[in-house]
Amino acid sequence: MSAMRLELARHLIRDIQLSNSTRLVGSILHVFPGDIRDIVTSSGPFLDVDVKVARPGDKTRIINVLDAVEPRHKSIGAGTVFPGMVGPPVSVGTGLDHVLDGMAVIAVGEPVPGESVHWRDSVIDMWGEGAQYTPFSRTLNLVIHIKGKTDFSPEEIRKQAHLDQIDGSDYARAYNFAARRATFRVADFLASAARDSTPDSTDVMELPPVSDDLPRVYYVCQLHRDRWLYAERMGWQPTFVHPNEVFDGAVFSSFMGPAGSRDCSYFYQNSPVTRQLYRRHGVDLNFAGVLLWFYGPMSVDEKDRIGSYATKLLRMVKADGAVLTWIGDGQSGVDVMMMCQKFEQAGIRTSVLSPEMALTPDDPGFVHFVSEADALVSTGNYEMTVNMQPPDRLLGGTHLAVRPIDASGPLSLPLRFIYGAVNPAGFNRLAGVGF
Amino acid sequence: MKLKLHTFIVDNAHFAPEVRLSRHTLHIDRQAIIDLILEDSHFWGAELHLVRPGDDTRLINVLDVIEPRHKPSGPARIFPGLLGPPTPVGSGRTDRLTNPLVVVCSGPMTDEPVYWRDSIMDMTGPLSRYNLFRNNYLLVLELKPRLLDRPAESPSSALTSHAYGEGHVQDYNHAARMAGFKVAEYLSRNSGGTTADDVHAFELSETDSPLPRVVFACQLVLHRVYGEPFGWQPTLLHPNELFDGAVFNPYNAPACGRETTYYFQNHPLVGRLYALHNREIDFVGVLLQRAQVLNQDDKDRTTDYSLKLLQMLSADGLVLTWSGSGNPGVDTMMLAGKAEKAGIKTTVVNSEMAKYPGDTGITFFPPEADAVVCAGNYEEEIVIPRMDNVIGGDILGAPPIDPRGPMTLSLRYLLGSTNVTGANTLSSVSY
Repeated sequence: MSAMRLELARHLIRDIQLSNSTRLVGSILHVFPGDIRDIVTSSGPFLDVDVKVARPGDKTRIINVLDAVEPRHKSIGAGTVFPGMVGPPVSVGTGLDHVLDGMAVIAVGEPVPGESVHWRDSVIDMWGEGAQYTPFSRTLNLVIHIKGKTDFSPEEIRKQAHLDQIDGSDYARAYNFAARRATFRVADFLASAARDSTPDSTDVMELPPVSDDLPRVYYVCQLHRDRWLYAERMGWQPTFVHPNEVFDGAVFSSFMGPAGSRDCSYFYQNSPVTRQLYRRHGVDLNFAGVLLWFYGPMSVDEKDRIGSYATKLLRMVKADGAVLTWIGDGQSGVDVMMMCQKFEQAGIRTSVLSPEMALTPDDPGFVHFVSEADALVSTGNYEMTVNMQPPDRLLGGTHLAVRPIDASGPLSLPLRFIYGAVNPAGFNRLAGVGF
Repeated sequence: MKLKLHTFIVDNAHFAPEVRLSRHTLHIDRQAIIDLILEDSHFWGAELHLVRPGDDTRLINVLDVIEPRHKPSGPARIFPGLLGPPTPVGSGRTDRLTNPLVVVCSGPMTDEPVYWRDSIMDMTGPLSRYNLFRNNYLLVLELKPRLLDRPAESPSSALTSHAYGEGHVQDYNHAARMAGFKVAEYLSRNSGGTTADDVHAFELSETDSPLPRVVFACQLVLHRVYGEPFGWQPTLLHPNELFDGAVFNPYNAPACGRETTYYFQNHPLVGRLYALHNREIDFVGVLLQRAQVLNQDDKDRTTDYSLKLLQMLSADGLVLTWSGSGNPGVDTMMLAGKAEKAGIKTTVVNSEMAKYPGDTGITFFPPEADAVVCAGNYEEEIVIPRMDNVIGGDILGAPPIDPRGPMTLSLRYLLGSTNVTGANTLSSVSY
């Protein structure tokens, strides 16, 4: 692979304070809510935004989480972070990004007309039992509560018809896409405050040529419905992407799949699988790139078409090994196992990171299983129940969506509801133990 | 990935009670083929014609030309995703008959834009030199569309896609290709040939020494890959997959540049790159990229992505083709410019569109594109002489005139005359 060099200049953030101007002072980020309001309301059908800070240990519960984004701003190199959303869709992955380390922008908002609420609920507790499971109990969070407009044109009302149990209405999908755009712009704006500051540390992300003797390993990353590559919907055919492009936000999802395994933008920006492969590049493997593929088709033929195409691509680039991740639910769980089987049959050694879905002790926790899947990493059981105490402060709404449960009280929920708890990106604390 | 191509030379064909290959003569069962076509309810009828080299015949409304092939050992079939499941192709064995080629003809549908559609092939006379299939036997399927497919609520004046036609038009043009694919596979599969006249293996083996890494970038428009419309993001394809029909064009682009399926099955540029592999170059593979027709951002997104993939493949050289008209021509040149700037030596094969002497004939031209192979000028005026025997319809579409001629039209009307696959007979001379 040719050398694509990206520097991540990390500015450690020790606190966020709401203030009358946005600036970085030492390691304190001051945020003017008026700036956030201007960005959000100019990014989509949004009336207003509430800006709050949630710190680790606060007795705060955040619900209706849409996305979590790490503030980054590109000051050198082509394009912007989140190409196609913040700036034009030109190739990214080079130059220098300023990163606000230790914090996240958490976008929250109630469901809009026609939105599917089947999987949508997502909870972050900043303290107590629930905090043990979500990665975002350990980040300083700027919570932006996006409020949608309420007066709709006849055209908008037509698009709010809920036609699809999984995807929801056209209006809701467009709304959730626009909410991502608003959040990415906020994240880019905040990190631009670090443009003239000296970073605490800098990571250089570059994959120089290494010995031909090392095994060529690809990260094979499944995307979910409403998946976006350079802010354009990705077609069925798998393709390669450089990991640095992923760090720069070239890939994101606007689909509200199960919160426990949802692929939020923060995970793409900080993909632990990718970073681990980077660390081992030239040591015991050759990290050759990322292969993106899209799950979603309902027919075996379509699954075969995608799986076979991905396998062919890996053979063309002479892959020896693959690390597969997926976004958890039923269809995608079948797809990942079919993919693993095809890879192994083609002689490509494959590891799968996977959450379990085991409701009862005798439930194996898999939708589909193939005998070739002999290197599995469990990222937790998404049906495991967590009991959470009432918070002092509730952000993001008042009730859960799938059943109107008052979220200010005690909650007893499966991990599926806890944001990022069993994500297969590798960004969590849970794992399985073999007996 | 290794594909063994078994060639059965056929130098004569005629209609007979059963399909059989005997001493290089293919006997064709007319009724079996009509029955096969009429399995699809898009057609109320079909006429078959067998056209021989040297026949004083003009074909019009030619949509596609297909070489009979099949895969005898399975599980894959040719035209994956169309004739069968989208099983991977490009390896194993493929059998081919050199004659007759299956030619699909069908007149325009209601609601079909016709300004690009006319497509003419002369078997004899001065225009036959543009006809790349003049030396072949042709089994012409003249398809009769059922007219019931047009949705009643959509009046014919409401043409929503000026370039491609309404949904039912696209659907029909797809079905017409499918009919040709089925017949082509049927002929090869049922010919009963056992001992091939030639066997050639295609495999991109490791090169013995480091050689310049060359990629062929094939531009798609509405083409389908494994039966599915291709999404925006570029990706790779193994050249052998082309030979087995993994890519086809269901759309009636200007006839001169229209890629008939035959030229994907026998892609001359790919064949040439294969021949140079491990001698002068390291042929890495095919980059598929879809032309973007809407806006500058889309063009930048796609061409940047293609460049990135070329860099990830450590490409040193690029051969780039263009799939026919204004917008795709801009995309091709954008990629050529970007690749050259990134140090990837690029050769573009394209046709000119020069109507007037002062017209450069190219929609967009970056200075970095310094190796351009011209495949002919598609606006060149030609005199089409009288030909009494016309197959494929009674009238040309745009302008609506008697197809027997004589008439003066541009080269654009002649199927394949300026195509960019490397198959045509035209080129230019620099002064």
